Amino acid sequence: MAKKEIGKIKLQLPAGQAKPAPPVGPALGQHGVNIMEFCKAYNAKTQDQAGLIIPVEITVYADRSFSFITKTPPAATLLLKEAGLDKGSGEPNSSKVGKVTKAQVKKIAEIKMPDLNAANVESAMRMVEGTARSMGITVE
Amino acid sequence: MDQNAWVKIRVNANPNLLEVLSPVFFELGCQGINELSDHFQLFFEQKDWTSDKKQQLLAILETYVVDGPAELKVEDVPSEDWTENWKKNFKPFRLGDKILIQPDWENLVPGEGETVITIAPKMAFGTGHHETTKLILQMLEKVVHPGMSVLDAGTGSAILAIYAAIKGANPVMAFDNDPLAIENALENCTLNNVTHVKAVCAELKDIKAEPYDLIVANINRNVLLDLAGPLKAYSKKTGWLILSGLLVTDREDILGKYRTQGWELLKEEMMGEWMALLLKNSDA
Repeated sequence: MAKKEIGKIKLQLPAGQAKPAPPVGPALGQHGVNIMEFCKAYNAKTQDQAGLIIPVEITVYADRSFSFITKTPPAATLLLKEAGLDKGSGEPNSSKVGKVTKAQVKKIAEIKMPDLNAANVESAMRMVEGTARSMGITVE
Repeated sequence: MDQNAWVKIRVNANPNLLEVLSPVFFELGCQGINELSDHFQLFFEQKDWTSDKKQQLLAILETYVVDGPAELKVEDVPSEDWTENWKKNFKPFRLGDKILIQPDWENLVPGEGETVITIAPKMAFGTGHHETTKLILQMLEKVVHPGMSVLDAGTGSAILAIYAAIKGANPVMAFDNDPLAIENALENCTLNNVTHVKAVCAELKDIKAEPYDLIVANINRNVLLDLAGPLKAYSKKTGWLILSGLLVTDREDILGKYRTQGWELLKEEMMGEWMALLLKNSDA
């Protein structure tokens, strides 16, 4: 019999750096989950992605056990990486801070596909392009 | 002022915005985000949260939130032990045939040949529930013997150091770079009446390089890769090393690195997706 779910928690954390502090501590603690066990598992699973923000969706069961899946990094994080930038534009409409190629957008769209509500890569690319525009990154 | 206090900022905006803004928030010093159905919460360490940061955050949201003015609700989050709820579910349990682990509010009497380890479950890793701790304790059970000198790297709750000390290892040196872990480690040493475990808040480089019979390290792949070279200076020529905190997929990287540093694989154990390795110094 499947275990009964009692909660879902969605967090965004730097890869390999989960700690028993907020937001992990309060979010998991209120469900009675073993916080240190989650930190150990999250950090091990994301240790290859240092420097990226890795969203995680945690399912908590009635027996206080948990499972989790990590998601792809936010599109903005991937765009900054591809464009070689530290941050996006504070005024994205008037001030452009960098460029990415269509091929780079496609690469990001393919990474993001599992987490995007997109019918195909083309529509995922349009979403990524929208994110790029809102960060002041031009798509060539 | 509570140096470990936090600030929670509730942002009443669509969490889809995080696809664009998440790295911006982290750039500002945000340490983590809790994503809810109709809003999200940003967490900053209180010592890093300034009025200037608040203005920057408002300016960012003004640029990106198009369906109304951005709303922030700032709330202080005092530091506390968030493990309280989980503790209610901590019941004594058995590891293998001879090890019993109990929380500090229980008082089990060990049977013939059994060892009871008492742990005050706080914010340090190592209550014995996790596969990595189970694996390394089971290996330690077979390897440790009276009089052995033991170094516990990244000790957490000190569960491994305490077990080694109960089994007669002496001296036992334990260290961790997390002050909360050392606080808990010292408390656990007292609970188990082991007086010959020295637990200190330190990095490996701060520990005097004396040769130990056995080194145990339940950490993670990246840290263990970094320690592969430096750990050698802490091993006797006939010394043993037990590594845990590793995913099965980490095996080749870890073994490759440790072999080049003169360690020979003696045994490996797996539990689910986790594994532990017993290595021997091949300098002898």
